Amino acid sequence: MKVTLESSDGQVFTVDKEVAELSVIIKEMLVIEQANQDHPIPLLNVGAVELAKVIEYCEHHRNDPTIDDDEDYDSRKKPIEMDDWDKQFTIVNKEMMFELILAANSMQVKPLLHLGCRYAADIVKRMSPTEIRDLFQIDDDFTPEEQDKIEWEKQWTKL
Amino acid sequence: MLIDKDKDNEGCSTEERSPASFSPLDLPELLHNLVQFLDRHTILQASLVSRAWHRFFSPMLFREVRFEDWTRDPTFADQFRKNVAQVVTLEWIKWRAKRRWRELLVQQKGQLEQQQQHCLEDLTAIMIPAKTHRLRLLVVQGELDLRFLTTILPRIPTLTCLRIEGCFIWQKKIGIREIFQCSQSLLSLDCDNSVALQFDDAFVEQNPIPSTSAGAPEPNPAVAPTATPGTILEECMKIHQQSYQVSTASASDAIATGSESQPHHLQLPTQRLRILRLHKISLSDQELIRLVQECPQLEELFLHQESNAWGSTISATHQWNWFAEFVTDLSKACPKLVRLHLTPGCFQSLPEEILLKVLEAFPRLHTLEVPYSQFSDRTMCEILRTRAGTPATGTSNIAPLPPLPSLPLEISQDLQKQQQQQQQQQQHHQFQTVDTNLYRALTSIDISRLKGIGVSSTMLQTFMERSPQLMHFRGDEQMIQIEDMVLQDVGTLRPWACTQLETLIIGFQYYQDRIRCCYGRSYSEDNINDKDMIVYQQLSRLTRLRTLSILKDGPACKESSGLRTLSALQVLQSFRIPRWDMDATSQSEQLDAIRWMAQTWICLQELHLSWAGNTQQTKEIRRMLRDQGRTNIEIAPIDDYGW
Repeated sequence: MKVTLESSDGQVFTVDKEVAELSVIIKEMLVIEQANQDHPIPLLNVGAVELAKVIEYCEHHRNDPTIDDDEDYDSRKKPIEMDDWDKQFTIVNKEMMFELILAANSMQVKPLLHLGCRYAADIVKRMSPTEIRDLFQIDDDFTPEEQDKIEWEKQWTKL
Repeated sequence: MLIDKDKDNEGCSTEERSPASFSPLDLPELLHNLVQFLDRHTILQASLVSRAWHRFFSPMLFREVRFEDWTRDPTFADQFRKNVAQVVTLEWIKWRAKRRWRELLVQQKGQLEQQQQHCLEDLTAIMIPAKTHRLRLLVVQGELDLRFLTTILPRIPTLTCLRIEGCFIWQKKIGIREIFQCSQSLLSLDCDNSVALQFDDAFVEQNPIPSTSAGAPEPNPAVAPTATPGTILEECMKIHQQSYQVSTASASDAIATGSESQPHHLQLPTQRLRILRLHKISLSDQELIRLVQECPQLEELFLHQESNAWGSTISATHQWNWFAEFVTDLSKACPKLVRLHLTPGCFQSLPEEILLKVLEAFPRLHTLEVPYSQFSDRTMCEILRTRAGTPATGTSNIAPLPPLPSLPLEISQDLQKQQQQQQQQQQHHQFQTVDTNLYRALTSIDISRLKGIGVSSTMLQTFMERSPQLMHFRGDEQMIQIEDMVLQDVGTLRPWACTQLETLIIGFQYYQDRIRCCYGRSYSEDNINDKDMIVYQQLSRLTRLRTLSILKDGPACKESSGLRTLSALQVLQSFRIPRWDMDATSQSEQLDAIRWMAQTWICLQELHLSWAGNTQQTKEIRRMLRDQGRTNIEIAPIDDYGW
């Protein structure tokens, strides 16, 4: 069975239902709007470029077992086993990957979200506050007094 | 300030957008996903980015809290109180911590009378209402008394691991059993010598032979009036009922509770027990056995002792010896034990007979850390006979295994002789007819502390060849000769069956005088690469490796030596290789090799290089990794290695 998805900029994609159902949001929408499947499902927060990429990911992972969404604090210590395809998939520029994370988040494609967050975490790792500010274009809004106040945190948090 | 995402995204195509359109703080649920991949250092850096980021990230720094000198800071108490629910690991370090904490509170509230108050009461006052529902690990180091533990432990219902280190207050008693009573959720207890020092007394005192009418437990003089054993017990019960309120029960209630529920034989949930330096206490064999009997769930046991029998000057009234009978008793006392770490003490060697006895007495054992001993081919042969596991399916296409035991003749004869003797002694001894169903395969073995090099290279090769279920192996330098990995007649590789290996720490022998031939050719300088190739081929089959450390000698780390065959190790996280050709011409080759590693091993996090340090070359490598987007790879020196 086919499902039609519509990106925020009006492009329409037709995919297999089981592929689309990797997105929790779409799965729920399909349950609710079972009678009304002829109309494309609008994805207001996802552009065509990102949607195409998300669909590409879901196509490849259509037969994967679903992952649990538990709050395991130690899960970051487990290595994520990526296959060659995933590796190739993540070779995109930062901007694209960030867009993909947002798309995966709004569509609730959890494996892709995990993959993206891992990618983003790797980028941020070992960056100084200044570098993080540059990356996300954030202003340093600490007052000098606050700056002094947070100095002590540095002292005890450094191992 | 943070960029307004909606405003920024509106009407922009992807190409025009900057990364600023992705601001993690805009989507808290997304941030939750991201945070789980961040380490502590990155979280600290992130908390210093801006006000908003600070609000979000600084509580996470309280996952791990360490009380030290810095607790003098008055703002800390407030921060700690606010974030105590985040704490997963709490370390209470050094005697100073207590005093600092008290000073801190006095400073903060300006109430001099608090000077008299015990600091731990303040700490518990914070912890009780906060419900530390995430605290898992408590490390206590320094001045410690029973009151501290009995007060704090019942307040931490989620605590699973307690580590006690460096307590030298001899006059105060710390009872292991009492600790267990206070924290019924405890699964792991780590004690060093200080606890062991008091262990014996506390054990005897708290576990008297019950008289017929002795319902109430005897008051323990070391315990404060507010925390008599009855009260503690009651608190423990309250924890079972998920209640966190302080007990205010009357003494009679406490007595009644004590009489009903203090069994002579405890059933503790403890799974892991680590007691170091047993030799320093006068603990008898029977008392130790009794303790482990009370932990029927015990899976892991660390015992460290210098026994009297090996020259300790401690009084001989109580001694815990490594006799075979004791090993048998121990195995009966803890039937679920699967991981065993035995250390007979500094410069002491554990007799090989005892090791053999351990292998026999603990059929379910799967992790064995071999102590400093003279463990030789004989023990390795026994492991092969009983603990090598079943051959993996699908290995039929490899060359047939050489006959077992491939032992030096004299050892084989020795072993046979021993077997015959033992057969005479015991009618159904397992040496002759090994029921492999009875034994569990060893999945983890550490033989790095062998005395000399007890195991021959041939035997080790056979072991690797026949242990398909092995997951962790830690060996010594110069363990395997390259030619032992090759079938000399046909010149093909003798592949290791241990393809499940996740950790491999091993050395190779490259001695020229022992090299006869490789791949049927006689040795010359030219075929050194062949030897490298053999090693790389062997290693490339171990596709589940997460840690690969080659000690001392090994194949050259360059592409022309066959490094690229290791591309199959897709989950490798830590790699150590000692042999680099240091001449100037090969520097670019080294860079190439590291670039290749960064590209190929996507999970790689640590790279141990013999020449890493504050050098131009190391900086160059870090720069290269940064360009590749692999800043998560740490370049570390090999500290225990010398050229």
